[in-house]
Amino acid sequence: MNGAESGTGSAGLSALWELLAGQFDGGFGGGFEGGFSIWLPTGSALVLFGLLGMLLAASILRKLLAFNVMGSGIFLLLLALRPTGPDGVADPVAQALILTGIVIALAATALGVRLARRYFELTGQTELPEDRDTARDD
Amino acid sequence: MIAADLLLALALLLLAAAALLARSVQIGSVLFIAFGLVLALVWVRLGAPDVALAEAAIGAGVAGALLLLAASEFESRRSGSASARAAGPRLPWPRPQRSRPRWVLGALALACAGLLLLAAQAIEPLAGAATEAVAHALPQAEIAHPVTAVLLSFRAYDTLLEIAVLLAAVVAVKAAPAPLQRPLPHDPVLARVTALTVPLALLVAVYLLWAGSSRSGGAFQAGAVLAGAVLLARFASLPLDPQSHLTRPPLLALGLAVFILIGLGAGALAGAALGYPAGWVKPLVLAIEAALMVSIAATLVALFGGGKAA
Repeated sequence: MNGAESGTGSAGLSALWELLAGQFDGGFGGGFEGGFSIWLPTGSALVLFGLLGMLLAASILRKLLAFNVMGSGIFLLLLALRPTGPDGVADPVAQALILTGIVIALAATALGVRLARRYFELTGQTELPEDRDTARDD
Repeated sequence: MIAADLLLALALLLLAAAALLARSVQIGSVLFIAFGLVLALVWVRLGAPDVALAEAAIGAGVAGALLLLAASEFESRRSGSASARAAGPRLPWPRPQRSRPRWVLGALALACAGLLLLAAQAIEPLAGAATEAVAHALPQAEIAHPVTAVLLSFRAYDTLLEIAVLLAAVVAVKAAPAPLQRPLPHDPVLARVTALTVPLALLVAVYLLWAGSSRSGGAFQAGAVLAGAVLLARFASLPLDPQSHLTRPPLLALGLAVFILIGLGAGALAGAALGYPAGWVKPLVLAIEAALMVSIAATLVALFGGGKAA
């Protein structure tokens, strides 16, 4: 399944990769020989989006959305770091860890959503006081 | 293959950005659900169908629906009372004096993500050490599917604690009372579609549970499908609405209780806590998974909260 990523296609692939992903890592070319993965930069970019969303968004719900995007990025990194097995099946330990992580992230999100709803009920606000000076959204 | 990968990665990033930058959180939640479904495709591409099932059902479906529900509630209540919007903060906390330096935060986040990428690139791949260890130990585990073997045999302690965390979350959610929901208007089309979908969903849930021992599937995916069926029936106002019974505390705690009891009882026979005596693995694991499925479905329904306005 991953034959295209190793062997003869590797050189052309690296060139294509450097062309496409130049914005992520300018002069960084060290990771190519060990079978590079486009999912590492993708996961890092998702973490970046989530981090920005959690820091800059005012609305609590939007922060929770960003929290979930960030978690997805972490899961992607976790699986991309494990090599796929010979039969195309990913590392079962990593899969089990991600399954657990998805459920825990959901539990945290549900708790956050309920707290946000309660806060809205009590105060009529959808953002925390320290975020209120930023533009009101949601 | 590489073109499909690039397309998937691009779609993932675009959907994530669109979800975070959407005009309203409602739109953002819908885009987040789409993001989760694309991510499920990525998991399939990376050879992790179990994760894909869980992502589509739990990560995209339940989390997105929770956010969408809350955003819709905020929106409808705020448009209902436009005067409250202009009333200003009612809490006596002081307003911050100056606006936050956004670009500093942005640069810090960029630095964090860049460092993360560098660190991840620098990690030497483990060359499948864990995969080999699991494949080596699989015959003793008597469970054909490696992911299920990891979840319920090799690392059963993790799963036990995960269920405990889920129970703690649902207790906390139930402690903050949800506002009563207005009865939804009857929609004949939705009711008809739901009447066809719910039996199918029940069948799929039982199949996923049974399949979990030999191929992809398991208690979490089955529980999510079951909860989806119950919630769909509730939103369509079908007379079948067991959610008031489903979210009782005994059912919520059933999975953890059965897991602990079997873990101790069978563990005493096997000589190690959370172990299984030889020859009994599959029935015991199936019993645990069935209890987990019921509890997870009850938990997910309870997380949505807001029972019928009695």
